[in-house]
Amino acid sequence: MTLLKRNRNPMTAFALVSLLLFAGCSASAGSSAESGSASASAEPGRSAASQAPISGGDLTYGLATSPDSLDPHVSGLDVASRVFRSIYDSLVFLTEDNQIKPWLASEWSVSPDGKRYTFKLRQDVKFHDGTPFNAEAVKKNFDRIVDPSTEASIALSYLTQYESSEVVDPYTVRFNLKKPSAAFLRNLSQPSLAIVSPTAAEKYGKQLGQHPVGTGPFRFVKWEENSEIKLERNPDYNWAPDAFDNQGKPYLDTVTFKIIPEEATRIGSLQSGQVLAIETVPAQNVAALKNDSRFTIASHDALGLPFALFINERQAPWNDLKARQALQLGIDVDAIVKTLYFGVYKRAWSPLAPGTFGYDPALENGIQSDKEKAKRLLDELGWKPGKDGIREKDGKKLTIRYVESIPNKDKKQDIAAIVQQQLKEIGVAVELHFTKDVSQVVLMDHAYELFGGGTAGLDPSALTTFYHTHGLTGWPSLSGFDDPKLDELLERGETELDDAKRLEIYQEAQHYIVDHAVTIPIYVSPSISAVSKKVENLKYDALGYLLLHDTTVRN
Amino acid sequence: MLKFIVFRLAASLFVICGSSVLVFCILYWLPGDAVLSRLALGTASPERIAEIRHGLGLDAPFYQQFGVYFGRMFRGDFGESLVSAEPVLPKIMEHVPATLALALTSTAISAGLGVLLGVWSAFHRGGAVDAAVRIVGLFGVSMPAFWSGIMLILLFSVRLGWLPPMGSDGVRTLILPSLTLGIVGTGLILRMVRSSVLDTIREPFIVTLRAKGLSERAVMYRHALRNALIPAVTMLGMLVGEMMAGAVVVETVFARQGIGRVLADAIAGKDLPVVQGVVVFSAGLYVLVNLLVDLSYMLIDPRIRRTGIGRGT
Repeated sequence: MTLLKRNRNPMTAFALVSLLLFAGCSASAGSSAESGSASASAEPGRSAASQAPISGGDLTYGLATSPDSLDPHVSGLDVASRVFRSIYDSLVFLTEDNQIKPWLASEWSVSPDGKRYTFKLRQDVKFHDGTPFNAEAVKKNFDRIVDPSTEASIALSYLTQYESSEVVDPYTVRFNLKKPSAAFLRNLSQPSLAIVSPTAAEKYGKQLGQHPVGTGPFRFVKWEENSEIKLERNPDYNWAPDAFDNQGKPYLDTVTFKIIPEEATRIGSLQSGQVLAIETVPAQNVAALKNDSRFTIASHDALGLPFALFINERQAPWNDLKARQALQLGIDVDAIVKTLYFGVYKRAWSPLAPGTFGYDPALENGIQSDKEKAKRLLDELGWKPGKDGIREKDGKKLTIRYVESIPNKDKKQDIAAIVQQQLKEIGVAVELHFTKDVSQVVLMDHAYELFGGGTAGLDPSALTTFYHTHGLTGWPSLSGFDDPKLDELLERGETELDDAKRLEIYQEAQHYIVDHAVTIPIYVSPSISAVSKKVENLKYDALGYLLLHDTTVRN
Repeated sequence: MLKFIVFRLAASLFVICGSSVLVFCILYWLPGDAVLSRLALGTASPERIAEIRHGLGLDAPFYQQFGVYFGRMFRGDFGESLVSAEPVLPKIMEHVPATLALALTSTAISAGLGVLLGVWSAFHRGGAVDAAVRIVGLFGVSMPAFWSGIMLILLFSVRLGWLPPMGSDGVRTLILPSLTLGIVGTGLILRMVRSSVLDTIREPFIVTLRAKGLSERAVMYRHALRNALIPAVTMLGMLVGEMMAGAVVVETVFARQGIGRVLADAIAGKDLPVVQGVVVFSAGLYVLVNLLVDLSYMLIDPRIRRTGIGRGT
């Protein structure tokens, strides 16, 4: 109302509007100058590490999307894990350098046949609702995940070899597996397999996602849809893994996750001090924030499978290795990654992401784009350039349907557009098909020749999902590459418990995939956050999820 | 008068049902469904997906889904969200206040600024002032709200640090979003008011008034403006639709709560019951506001008051 009153004089109103116009233009043009002026006013460097940690304060953290549910067994979204990692603990902890350490389980042993895991549990742990943590609680959690009525998704996919669990004594639990599984222990550290309060799970059922109760360093306070999720310190917390400096209750009073979907607003909220940290910083904004002395950029490359283009071999001529190699050589991955991600994203060379167990660095700098050779390969197959430059054979044009999803996440649609340009140069026409309905088009109709995918994972067995003939829980594989040799390698990799032998198996599998041009790896997707220097000791686990045990905020 | 209101209310019911049926059909025939859009690729088997679909009744034939849905709706039951299993009506009601606050503030800004600038520009037609205001008007109607929203954030939040760029708690978080939407409405109203004032002052009765020796001020404010107001008020009614559509964008840009954002998420997730709930609500609001607008003509124009709406000029 006051605004209206003040603008009763049309002259002022006009002046205001023209000011808006002008300011709008100058603000967009001068964004680089802006970070320069900001750095002049920024506070001096970090406080000395020797100072005692400051207790108290609220960490505000801007999320890019809203979690679907805070039930770790049900949600499959990254963004949900960022939140519930602070509410729940897991049985074991995976350090940033891939070491498995005790957490809610204090020690464990594996039977010689690799099919039984026995865990001794901590005896001093209780859930936020007062329920004691014990073997019974753990058993109920795993029974819950495998119960179809829970509708678990990702969590279930980590338990493909899980058979049952039994309570040995009040603080000892045993898991029985169908087959030995090298990935089982490491996957227990996944946020999706975190331990929820069995009392709360029973009480809330499917609504547990709106009323999360765990044993973690923070307790759930409230969730206002599309606005914020608030957590408060768990004063009883005393069981953080050794990897932290602080095993006791966290320093922060509260943590507030604000949901800010628009990139520019998220960055603006950080710059104007509305939030102290944000996730999902777009590659094009990294440089400006890095140059601003008020913030630090934290980037974590995802483990698992990098984003790669799958070639659908169900359609001729792509069942022919030479044709696939023509695509492998015709697509200039370096150009794509440099153009779209400004050196912030790394180029992927292997179907596995660097840092994942089994990754073979020998593949780096292996395949280089070579358009002439690509053309030669297509010539040899009898595909000759037609009048319009597109190759033809028996009156058929060489055309590829490239399927990508809507919305344009991580500029993946731009990748498609560049690939279209690049393949045109070797005489292959690319039709772009952007759809919201990827499952239907790709999994059910197979109406594609190129489709990009990748997934985060802690273990190389993630390869099975996308590369094994029957990896996609009941769906045909993305590449349609039915190769008994690769299937056999992936199956052996899953059950081999000797690390050295396992490494060999997965290295062979990676070379096999690259040599047979099953996919074209494009980029390793990082999770990039920008954090105010008022925040100290924000830590991340192996998957790049936030860990707030040691975190402090300075005012 | 009463007959008119009853007729309009009956027509409103038709509009609401029509839009609801249309939305049901569009969402039904669009590819994909609520189950596939929430499951990550390949995490659930085809059998499992069929089971979940069956549980939600999504595998039933069209006429059956249609019958079940509208049967329930006429009993006042909007059903539950297919994604979160929450009942739809409370979910929408929870978000209505935030959107109403945004829509009312921006309508006030649009009406105030729009009428003022429109009249001012018409009175100085042909001059520099007129040209400037017309550019502002053009800017208002042509700039997409997401762009002007981000520009306002850059200026008032990032550079000047005066106002928060996001959130929906308190008056301070309301200013930038309602300015963003208000700029669009200002442009629309300004252009309408300007042209209708210009039309009015060319009419013979204005010449007569001037000839009578009435002061220019009295001619303008007492006679010309009043006659030029009806198209502007009509525009105001239509602005409600503009505000509802704008809320989808503005609520996302400014990370506000509200039904615009609920709608955007629901469409993305193919959450039919929620989409329907929001559509019925906004269609109802639109119809109601336009009824009020029609009734307000009687306050503005005594000729309509005498002859009744629909038969007056």
